[in-house]
Amino acid sequence: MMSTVDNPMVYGGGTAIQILIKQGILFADNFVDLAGIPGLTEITADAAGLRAGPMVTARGMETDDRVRRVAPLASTAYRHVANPRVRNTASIGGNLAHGDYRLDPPPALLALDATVEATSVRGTRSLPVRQFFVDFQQTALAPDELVTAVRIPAQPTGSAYRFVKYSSLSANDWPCASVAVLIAGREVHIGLGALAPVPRYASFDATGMTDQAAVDAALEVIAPLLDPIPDVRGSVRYKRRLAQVIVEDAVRGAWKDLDNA
Amino acid sequence: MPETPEKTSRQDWVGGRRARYDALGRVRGVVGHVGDQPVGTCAHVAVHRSTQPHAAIRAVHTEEALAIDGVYAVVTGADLHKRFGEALLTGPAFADQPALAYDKVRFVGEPVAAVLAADLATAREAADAVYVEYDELDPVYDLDTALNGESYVHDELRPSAVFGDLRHLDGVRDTNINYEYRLRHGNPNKVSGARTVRGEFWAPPTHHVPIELPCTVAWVEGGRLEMLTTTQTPSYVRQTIADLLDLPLSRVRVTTRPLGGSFGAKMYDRLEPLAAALAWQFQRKVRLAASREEAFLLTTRHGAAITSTLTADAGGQLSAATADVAYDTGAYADVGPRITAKSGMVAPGPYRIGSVDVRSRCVYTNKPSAGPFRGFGVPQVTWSHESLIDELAHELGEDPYAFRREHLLREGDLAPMGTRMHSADFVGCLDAVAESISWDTQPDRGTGRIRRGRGVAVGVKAVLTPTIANAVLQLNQDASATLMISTVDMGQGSDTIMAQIVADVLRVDSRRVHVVRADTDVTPYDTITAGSRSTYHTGNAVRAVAESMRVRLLALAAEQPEQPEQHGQPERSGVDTGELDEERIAEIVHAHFGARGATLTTEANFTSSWSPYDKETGRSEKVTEHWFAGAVGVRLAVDTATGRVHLEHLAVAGDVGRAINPALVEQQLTGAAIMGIGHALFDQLVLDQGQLVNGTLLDYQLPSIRDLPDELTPIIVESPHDDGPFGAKGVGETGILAVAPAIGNAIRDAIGLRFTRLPMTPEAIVTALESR
Amino acid sequence: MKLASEFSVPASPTEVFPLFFDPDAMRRCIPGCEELERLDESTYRGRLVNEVAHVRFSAGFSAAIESVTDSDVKAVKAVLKGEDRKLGSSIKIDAQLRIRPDGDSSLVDYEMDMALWGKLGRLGEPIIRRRSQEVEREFAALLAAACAPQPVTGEPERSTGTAAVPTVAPSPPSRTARTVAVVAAVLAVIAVLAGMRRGR
Repeated sequence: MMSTVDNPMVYGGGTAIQILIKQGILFADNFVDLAGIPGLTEITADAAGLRAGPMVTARGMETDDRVRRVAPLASTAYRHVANPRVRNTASIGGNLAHGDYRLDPPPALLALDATVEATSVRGTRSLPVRQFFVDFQQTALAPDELVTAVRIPAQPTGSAYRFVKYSSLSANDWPCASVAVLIAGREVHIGLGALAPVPRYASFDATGMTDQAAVDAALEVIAPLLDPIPDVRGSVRYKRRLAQVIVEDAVRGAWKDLDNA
Repeated sequence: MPETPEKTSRQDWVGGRRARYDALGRVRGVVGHVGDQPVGTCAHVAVHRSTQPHAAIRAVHTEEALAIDGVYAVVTGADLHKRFGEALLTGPAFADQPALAYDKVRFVGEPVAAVLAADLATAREAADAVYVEYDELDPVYDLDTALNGESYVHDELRPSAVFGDLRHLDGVRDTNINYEYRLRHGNPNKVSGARTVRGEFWAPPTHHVPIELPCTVAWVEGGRLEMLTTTQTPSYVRQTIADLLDLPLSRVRVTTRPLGGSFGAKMYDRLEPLAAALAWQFQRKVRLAASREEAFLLTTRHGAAITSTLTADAGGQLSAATADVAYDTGAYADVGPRITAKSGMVAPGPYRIGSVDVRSRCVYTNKPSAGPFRGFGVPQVTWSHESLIDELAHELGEDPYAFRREHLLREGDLAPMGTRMHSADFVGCLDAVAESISWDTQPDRGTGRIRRGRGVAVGVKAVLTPTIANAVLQLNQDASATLMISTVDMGQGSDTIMAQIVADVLRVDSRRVHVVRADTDVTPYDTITAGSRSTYHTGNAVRAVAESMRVRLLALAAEQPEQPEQHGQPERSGVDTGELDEERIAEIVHAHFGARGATLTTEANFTSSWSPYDKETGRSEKVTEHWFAGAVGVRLAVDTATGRVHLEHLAVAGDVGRAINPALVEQQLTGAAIMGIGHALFDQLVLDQGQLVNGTLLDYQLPSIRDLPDELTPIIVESPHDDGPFGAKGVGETGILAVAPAIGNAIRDAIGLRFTRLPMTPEAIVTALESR
Repeated sequence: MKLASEFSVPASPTEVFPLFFDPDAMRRCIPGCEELERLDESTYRGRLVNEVAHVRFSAGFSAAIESVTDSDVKAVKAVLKGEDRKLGSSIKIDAQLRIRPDGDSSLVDYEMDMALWGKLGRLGEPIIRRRSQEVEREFAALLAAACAPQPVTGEPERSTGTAAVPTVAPSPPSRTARTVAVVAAVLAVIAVLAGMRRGR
């Protein structure tokens, strides 16, 4: 169908597209609404993890029992998206395909090593989220590809996690910096949002480390990833500083949970 | 929205906490606003906007736009200028703003051409297809360039006919200063002070962001121009349109619907002159609806730079205050000159001060125009004087609360600008907030990442004076009433309290009093709904019209034979006690007309007066009808790692004379405080070389529910005004005046750093901490 | 909005500098530049065309040279203007470009004070900053290729002879150099337009 209409654009939840249309800067002639396609709103869970259709809403990910149980970090991150009205509409496929650098779910999906199923007339392929965000608002999706599922591996038992989002102006604003931390085994996985043109990922082995050593290691491993874009929310300098604060807070918090577990 | 019937009770009268009559409807979205009204067949209008901050218009190409299917017409500023001449220039203080730019453009986003089309999408497409050739002129981006440069936003000043005292400015050339107010009392330079504090303060431009967007529908019927529009100033708009179209007032009709917020955004000339000009030119119905992005360009709050000092003498008395205030009014003066004077005169603050010298200037720049905004320029100078006195207290080793308390103006005191204080209980407000936030208990300031502090601030503002209010009351035979006033209910609850006043006087259920929404064909002249003036001015007119009705009823009753058998309580039925109730009113009116459903009509006027400023000193023995006094107290925590400020408790007090409806007063205080929190911490319009860069709701910052203090306490202080209706004054602005300095003072207390620039963002705080 | 950056080109300033006087060379270095012509001694006009996600756009720009310095450090100041009518936006850039030697290479640095007016102005600082980096990278790569002693392989039209860099420079160096900065800046804006239209 996409090939039969002029200048088409896929329409999921519409929360990003509507804004661009209202601002008069999106010029698509036809919208292809995914809402009517069956099977895109399903969440399934098995021993390996979760599989969520692209039209599952952010609210769905936040509240679904299986998501909460199998990948609580993902559920937590989706809970931080905008507000309930937006979460009830925003689709997780669209959220990924938008490829924006400051959305809330990508850092969590990076830490969790999620994969994206992309489908076109040529077939379906699987893309690791860690290779999905190519450049500023650019993803690895081909123009004719559609996100048809997101797979999230189950968080290992005994793992600990934190999602920290910091807005520098109004509390409900876009994040000025966000971080998802997952400590599984002794491996620390860190997903960063809003701190570079794309969501970024880093990890390190924390075997034998104290909490302070883990914090130091985390700050070291994220340093080369920071490339914040200055805007009304803060300068490069301030955003770098914030990155250090939230990464420290998140790692320390998760570490504490680990100790208490 | 019908309310659940209840028995008449004092709750419905003056002092009662009656809920807004339209509260449910507003929350549920069933109150019809202007933009919701079906308009039938009409031309939808979109405007083409300037992409230059300052440029002469060489040519406007409209051919491409006209060729688009569905386009009825494309109109340029030059077309309108040709048709309407200099009348195209409108404005409340200066007649300097054209409905469409014709000779040059003065800000990025200024309307240059308008498209009339079958639908809005087509109109917008065609507006994009208009192409303008410009000859660039040197832009004036900021106050400094405006005051010291050689590029002028306007060739000459054009004061409007509205304010006679601006006449001397007519035709003045080669300046960007359209108005200067000077206040001089004593000689501050000769004062030898024991201690002087000085500051350079900045309050940035902000936007009102009412949730309802501006919308105007205009049409011609029977040779009259009729208009339905989102305005706080229907009487003003009618006059403006009559002048523009050269029509008698009777041939212009301006109507409104309930406004969904305004805060000054929907005042004076917004969409209305253009809508009227287009409707008249083409003799057809036109509809102009501003998008959110366009609304940001319609009007803003003045950015203001203030350099000021405050001096205490050796005995600890305040001996001198100076202030050099510059309001950035953008491309058009709007009401800036008024703001400049009214705010300049209170720049020293509500204190007993020996000598003062204030210079307050209104300055043109190539930016979107600034106009009225809740507080009318006073929050900007309050930011200055309340930071200064706080700092002076610290320098003298005094408690900031006690220091203020000692020097605040009291009842009967002559303020620096020469007017006496009455019904302005600053001390009462300050005491109330200090008590509420437990001032005497030192905060746990902390030594680690989180630091705590507390602060207070006081504000003073004059009510808009002189103004005129009229009311017409139609009493129906069934003891219900229809009140005709031109006050616009925009959420503040004026329709509810005006009904309470009528009901109180006539002793009827206030829900039986219907307030007719402003319609200049029906409702009488009322200066404007703004400047917190309606409760006092229109309230007085309403009280008078109800009193007049009461007298009329009692006179009618006196002419009528007594009918004691209809009343169980004979003492209530006669004129002797002057008692009325619904039953009795119904009887009197029925007896008088011998008919059911008959009406009695009375009318009343209330006009306030003032003494103009002395030309030399800027002083006036009666600069205003009355004063607003407010105070704010804050307890907060600063995260020194991120710079984020967390408000733990904010108390806001306002002296309202007498609360006609305490619930609504508390809501006004609360709402104003929340708006003030935004201004203190993050709310600002960011401009880069004349371009508004955050003029969308994606980037513009407003306080959300999560930015509210853990505890927010509105406090009503009542120091009745001799001439207020039941002693009452307004309250719309009182709560916002002192919020930012109270927060700044609390931050000073927490981390020892004084901020002079708003907003106090986390980054500003972290940067200051790092460079300490 | 102020933008500043520098990049390295693997050729000496005396090799790089003449390139700026050759509209043809510049046109090849500027991604999407379809037209670039010299109107008189100090003004140029050009057009950038691009197509992203099936949307073709076209934006005109002009450049006026304010001053040229040709010494060890070669510098040019220019004022650039661009316009996209469909997006109701215009751009004005005060640009300064400098070239100085750095071993065998040249360091090209630029400073731009960019005003972006209209619809794009409210959207774009972060995006412009980002896009300008991309454009700079691309431009630098193309410029480096143009400086290469051998014609870049796989581009037949370059092998036809005249494009060899060192042969250029008939016009006095004092006039033309500014196009580079102009172009990079305007291009950045164009790229922004493209990005926004794509609506990502």
